[in-house]
Amino acid sequence: MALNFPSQSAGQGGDHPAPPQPEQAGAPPKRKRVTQRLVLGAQSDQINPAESSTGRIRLPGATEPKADLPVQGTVQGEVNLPAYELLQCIPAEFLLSDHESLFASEQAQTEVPIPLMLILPGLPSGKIEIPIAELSGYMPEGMVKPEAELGEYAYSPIKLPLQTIIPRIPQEYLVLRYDQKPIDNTVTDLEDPFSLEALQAAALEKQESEMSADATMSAYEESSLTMEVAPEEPVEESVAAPEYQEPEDEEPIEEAMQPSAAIDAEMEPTVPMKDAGDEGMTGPGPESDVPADAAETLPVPEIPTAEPVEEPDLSFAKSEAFRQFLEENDGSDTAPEVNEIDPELAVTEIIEPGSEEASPIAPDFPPQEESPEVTSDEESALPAPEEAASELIPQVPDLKPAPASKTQRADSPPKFHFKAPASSQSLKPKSDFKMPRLGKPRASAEEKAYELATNPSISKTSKIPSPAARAVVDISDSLKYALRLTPNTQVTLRDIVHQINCWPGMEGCILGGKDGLTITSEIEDERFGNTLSAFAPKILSRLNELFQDLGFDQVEEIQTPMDSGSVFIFRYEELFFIALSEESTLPASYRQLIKEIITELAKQKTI
Amino acid sequence: MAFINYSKREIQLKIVYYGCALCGKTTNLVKLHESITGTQKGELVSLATDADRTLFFDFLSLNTQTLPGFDTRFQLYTVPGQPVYNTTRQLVLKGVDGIVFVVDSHWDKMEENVESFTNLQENLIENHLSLAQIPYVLQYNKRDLDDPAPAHYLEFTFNNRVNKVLSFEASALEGEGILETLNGIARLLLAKYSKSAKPRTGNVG
Repeated sequence: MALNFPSQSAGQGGDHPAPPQPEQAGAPPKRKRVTQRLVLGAQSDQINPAESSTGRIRLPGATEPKADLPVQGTVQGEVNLPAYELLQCIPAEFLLSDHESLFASEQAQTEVPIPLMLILPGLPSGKIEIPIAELSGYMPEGMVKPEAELGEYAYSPIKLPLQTIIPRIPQEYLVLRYDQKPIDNTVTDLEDPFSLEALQAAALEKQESEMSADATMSAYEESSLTMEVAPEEPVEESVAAPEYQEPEDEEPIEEAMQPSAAIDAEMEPTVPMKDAGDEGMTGPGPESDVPADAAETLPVPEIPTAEPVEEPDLSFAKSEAFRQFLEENDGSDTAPEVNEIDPELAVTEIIEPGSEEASPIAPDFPPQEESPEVTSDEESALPAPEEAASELIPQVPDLKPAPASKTQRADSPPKFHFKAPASSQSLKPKSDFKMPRLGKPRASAEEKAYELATNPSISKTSKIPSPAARAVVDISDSLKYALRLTPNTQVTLRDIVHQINCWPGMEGCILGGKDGLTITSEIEDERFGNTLSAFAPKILSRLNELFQDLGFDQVEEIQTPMDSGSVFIFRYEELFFIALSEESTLPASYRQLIKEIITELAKQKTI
Repeated sequence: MAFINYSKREIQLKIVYYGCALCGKTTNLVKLHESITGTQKGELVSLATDADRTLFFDFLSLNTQTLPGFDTRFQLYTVPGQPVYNTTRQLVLKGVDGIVFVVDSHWDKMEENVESFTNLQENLIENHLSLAQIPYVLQYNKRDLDDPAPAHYLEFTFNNRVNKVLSFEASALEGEGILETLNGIARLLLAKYSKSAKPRTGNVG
């Protein structure tokens, strides 16, 4: 039934037509009143709205819809789909025959027109479903049961194949909404924080830094090796004698000691350090077959040169005393035999007063056996050996202990002192030197703590927080994996609590014992944590008493909501685990994992 | 909500990779972790079950200096895609600054994609947020499939809201498009916080 309203308004009835109003000059033209006919029960194609009516309400300022876009409500098209593909989607109980026989029929090869009106509404949901009763109307006869036979299943949705339908839908039906706001230009104009070029540059930089670090490390290792070997080798093999030159034309020794670029260019990268020093002592001179400008053209590579510790201090060659010594020796300008120099001179060391080995050779004070003519008077006039040594050897800070304090006994021996090495004693690298007092007390304390924590027979202090927290516990690799800990590594209680506390939503974790003492915890307010740990056993024991009276089993887990978040207390035997959560509940996976962990921890003897 | 640590001169931004199960969220993070140098990234933490399904979340921290004077630390999370782990998804979404919604291009996953997108909106509401507030980008993953869903259909389905968002085609397994996606969401966040927003300050250790 259709209710047809008159096309004229009530004021414009046919019996009493209103007189036409004369148009006033300057007045805005009156809008023409249009009546929208309301047709109930009519098909959409039967609706004939007035010519000037859009049939929709539009707010002022709204964007005008694009005329070329189809309005979904007026879609008239169809999509032809292969019948056999539709058959695949229909369950066998809705078909008149089995699938195989229907696929073999000729009708299965035909195409079924499905109206777009049925398809388009389902597109945004990622699926296209049509009730079987409606679909059967489009399917070829003899395939789907009639609606009467389907009964209550007549409106069961059949999901149509999306990959078959979407390519057949015209693209103009899959366009974005016309009023969509574009992406802000500030976003598109920004530079990428993680550009590929920057990543490659960072990777290259990292690679270079690693290479330089490796080179430094290898140089260090090489020099360490030389330090150990050098004192036992003949000195002349390790250090070449410098050629002494007259002051007028002498070059700075520091420059002469630099390895020349030309020679360095010919050197292998793994040239031993002593060779480098040997070559470095002779710069490119007239006798060299290397071009003089080679040093300008070739870059000077960074080669690990002799370190000051092991390199003999040759600065005395420039000193006035040494020149005087040379003049006294027939004016010879040859350098003293290097093998006469004790290698200990090359090293900054402590020489104890009165030591016989102190300064055996000093360039301005020849050894006594080389000057037998020296009389006792002359000998007395000579400065003491240690004084001479102090002139040549750089002063070192007094490493002797400070004077005894008032509380210390005057006759008490110094706590430590350094002993000068004997001349026969080979020099050791500095890295081998160990301070007597540093390190040992700390190490012993750690050993003691570990022993206390790991050996329950000698200690009843397993509840002491720090040692027990640092005690290594043995948990299964699966739990380590679940806790994001590396399998086959030693894990402490502190690690476990930390990992649990890293879960999202966790505000704190406390692992405590039956006595209410915290074993280890990770909580912002540690005092509150200790309080909580102290009360947790009491809470559970009191609850258990009450529950026992009620005939319930032991309580192993309780949850209490708080002002912001909640508190969870887990217990297994004598171990308590308290978890503070920001949420009112804790996920089941969290709870399960925590229970498994404390079950396994409770089996540990170290706790 | 972003954290600013003034003592460390650091801004922390949390990005969550969201999507249906097996759409490639974890693969995104794994490939990002491989492609970004060690100085810029943290440890990739992943809790997966025996079947390599992410049960909890993946976390990857990336450092970059983009805002003047501050190191920006992007913390990347993924959620478990299986519908049963909705509580975990809600937890991971807490405090989120940006979202990468990963769409599986496989035809059979379209419904799950849409359900996951709806679930994302619901979970944001649970966290008193909405997609209108949180910057997000779309990643159409698995474009290397033989017959992926066409991009215009994916755009029609997922990018048909009032505000158009950035979308990227990617093949996370091949490492293609993942960096572009990360850059996209990072640009959105930096544009947001460099404009006018006042991130929550805190002393994050």
